[in-house]
Amino acid sequence: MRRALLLLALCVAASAAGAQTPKIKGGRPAWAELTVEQQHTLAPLKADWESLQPDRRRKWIGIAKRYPGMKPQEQERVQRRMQVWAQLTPEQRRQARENYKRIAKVPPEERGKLGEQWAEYQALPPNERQNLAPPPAPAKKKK
Amino acid sequence: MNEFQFGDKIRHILNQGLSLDSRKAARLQAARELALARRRPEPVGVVASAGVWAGNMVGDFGGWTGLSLRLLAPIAMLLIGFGAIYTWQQNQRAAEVEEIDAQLLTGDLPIDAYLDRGFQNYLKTRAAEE
Repeated sequence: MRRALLLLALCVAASAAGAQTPKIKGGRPAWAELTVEQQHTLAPLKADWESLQPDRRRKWIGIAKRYPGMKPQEQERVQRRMQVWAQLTPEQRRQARENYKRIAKVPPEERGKLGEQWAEYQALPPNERQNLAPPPAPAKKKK
Repeated sequence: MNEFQFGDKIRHILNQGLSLDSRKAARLQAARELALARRRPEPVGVVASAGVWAGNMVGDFGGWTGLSLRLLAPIAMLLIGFGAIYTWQQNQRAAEVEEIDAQLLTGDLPIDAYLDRGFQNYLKTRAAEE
């Protein structure tokens, strides 16, 4: 019985290792391993690159691959936002993605007004803006 | 003509005898031999092998021989299957995250807008008003 369990455990470990090893090795290029173009595109991330998890490195490489196909304005935005985005906490990134997904559901004609609405929101008096986002005090108490 | 009648007709013709030349007969013979050679071996005593398996499981569970391939192979296949599904799901998720991030980084709205709860509520109230 013990042998049977040991063998099963080995099987599970082997399959888990098989699934993980190529990912880490293949998905973990060091900064020096990136192509010159990728380094150029991802330059704002250079200082943080070594601290990025393999999956995030792969994602950034994916974005660097899309970069040449972007409009100049979009390229400029990516360059500007890259560092800010990378320095958010995982929770903040998750929240931003959730909000993005929700906003992306609005019809295209409404989506065009978003920039305008953001400007309107920012022009609101601080107390009005605060009223729209009450501090999450009850959640903290629960903790 | 239904299937039965058709079969009956063929049987009748065959009973009358076929005049096959030697070449056709040789080809038929060769085809039959090939078919026989390719035939899958019949399951030799399913009950017997099940008995052996059960015997191995019950009588000799602790021993190495108890864990025959019959037990390990399906488990291994299952693990490989789960591994493949897991990898596929991870790849799908990674692709989705990359797509969203690319849009967040290039979109009209700054990242702050997606992090601002007040703005999210502002949009909701605006949508409700309209």
